[in-house]
Amino acid sequence: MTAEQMIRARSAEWRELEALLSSIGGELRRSATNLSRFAALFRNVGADLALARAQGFPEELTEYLNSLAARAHNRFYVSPRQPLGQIAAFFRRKLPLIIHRNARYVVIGMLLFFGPLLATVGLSRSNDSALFAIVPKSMLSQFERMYKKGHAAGRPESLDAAMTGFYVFNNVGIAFRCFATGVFAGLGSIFFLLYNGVVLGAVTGFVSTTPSATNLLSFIIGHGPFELFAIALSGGAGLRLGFGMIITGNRRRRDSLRDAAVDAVQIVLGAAVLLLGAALIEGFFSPSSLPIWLKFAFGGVCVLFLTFYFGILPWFVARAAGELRRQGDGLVLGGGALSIVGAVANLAAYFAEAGATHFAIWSAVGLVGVLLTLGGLRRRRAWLR
Amino acid sequence: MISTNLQVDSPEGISLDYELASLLDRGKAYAIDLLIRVAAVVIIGVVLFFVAGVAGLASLGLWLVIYFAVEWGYYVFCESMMSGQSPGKRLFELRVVRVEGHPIGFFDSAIRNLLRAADQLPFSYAIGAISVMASGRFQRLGDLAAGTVVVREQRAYYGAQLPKIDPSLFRSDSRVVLSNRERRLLQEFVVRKDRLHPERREQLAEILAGHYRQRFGFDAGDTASETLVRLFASAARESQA
Repeated sequence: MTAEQMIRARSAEWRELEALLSSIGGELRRSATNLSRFAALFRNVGADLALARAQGFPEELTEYLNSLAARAHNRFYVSPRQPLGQIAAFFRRKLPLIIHRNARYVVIGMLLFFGPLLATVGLSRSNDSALFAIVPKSMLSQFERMYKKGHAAGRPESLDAAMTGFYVFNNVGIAFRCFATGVFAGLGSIFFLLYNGVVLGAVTGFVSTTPSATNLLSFIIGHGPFELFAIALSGGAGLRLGFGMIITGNRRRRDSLRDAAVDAVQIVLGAAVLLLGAALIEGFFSPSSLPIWLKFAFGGVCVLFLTFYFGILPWFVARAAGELRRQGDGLVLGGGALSIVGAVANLAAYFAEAGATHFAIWSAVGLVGVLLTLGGLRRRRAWLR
Repeated sequence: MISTNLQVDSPEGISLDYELASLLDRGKAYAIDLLIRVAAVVIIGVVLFFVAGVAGLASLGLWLVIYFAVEWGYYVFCESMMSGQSPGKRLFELRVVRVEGHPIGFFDSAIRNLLRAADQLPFSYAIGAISVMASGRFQRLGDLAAGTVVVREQRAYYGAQLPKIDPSLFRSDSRVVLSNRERRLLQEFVVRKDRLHPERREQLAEILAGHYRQRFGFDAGDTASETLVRLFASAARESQA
């Protein structure tokens, strides 16, 4: 067969395939006859392409057939639609499994964020001038004025809605950036975690030394757990991405990076959902005139939920899914719980202006918790792999 | 050698060549998408503030949420719904595919588009552009992490440019059997020869003819380009027979 003969014999089918290709997506998929005809034409043009290449037909012809086959291929194989039912399965099973696999990155993210946060909170009471060196006093006083009024009077709902929108726009954006810049060997995420930790710690610490302390604390206690943890979580996801690029195991770098990214992006989506929840709480609940004890109780429930969903559930889901229980899992769990208890009790003691003994005890508890966690991670021989 | 093609083996056993999209193509598609995004945010804002202005500040909140959704969700939504295309990409016939040639899924799209935040640093996608130029498959960081490439889906048209051969050239009686590669090389030359400056044409033909002369041996009287055209004609007649 010559090129001319092929064109004469086959161009009718090629035109037909082109017509199908330029039809709208749904039109093609709705009609069964169209669809099966499309599949047949696609296979035939593939055969034509192979023949044209083997015979060395003119480049124009093979190029045309290649482009036709490639376009048909892209229309034929489409990404599967994600049914809504998968969303529930994602949060029930998939995300906990991913958290379990990447627990070390979540822990590092939390240390890098909450460490500087607690440190600057501590600094704010012991050494003012050092604090002002980090964050200018004018900025801190501004926050203090903001919380002077308190929330006993509540505020109009339209303002609540506007602020919720702002929190979504701003906070989720910060989390996404914190994640994305992790691609630079984790450096961007580390920077965002440290920076946000220091600034938030400075503001909270400074205002808590002023008469506005209760106002501030009752405001942040509701949304704080979700919001702060979500930032640490997205930073941890960014670290996963960055380390995936550096520590490749015995895979090619691009495969390692891609595996890391698939896990990391799902962690970030979890963080985004937390932040959406936090934005709603921060917009409507935190500034409301509800009694302070209710706000604290709500914050406590949030902490319990986070501990359960990110600290306990992953281990159970992983075992149910048949993941081998690794040595050190218990240590990671226990140590993590202990360090959370230590940190929360420390904060409570701090705001209740308790004596130095309380501090010493709870700090020691938290420190032991951190050490146990790190030891457990080492035991799992999974420190960064 | 720098190749601007991506070769993909389809499940049907066809090997398809995709042309990778250049920085310019992608920039044009980006500009269109940017225009659409800005227009959407502005129009929705105007509607919310002037038509539904009664809600006051609440509409500001709604607008910020929409602004956020458009900024971060536009590409993920479009690429998931349109099999790896956005309106801008469709206009310039580009498509995002996995490096293995598969269509992209939701998470692939989420990865490559969240990482725009890294690619657009420090200004106007400078890092992304460097990554595109440095990586073999024109991938920005988001593409590298997601394992995707942007390809051109250009339609080619056939027929018009098939080389027409002057029948008087069919005079050699010796059988000429060429390999596919040899024939393709000849054909490339014959198709392009009239677009080349005569001197340059002879230069190129000299280089090419060396190989064929060794194999077939020609009259010394012909110029190199005449030799090649005659050889091509003989080969064409051979394959017609």
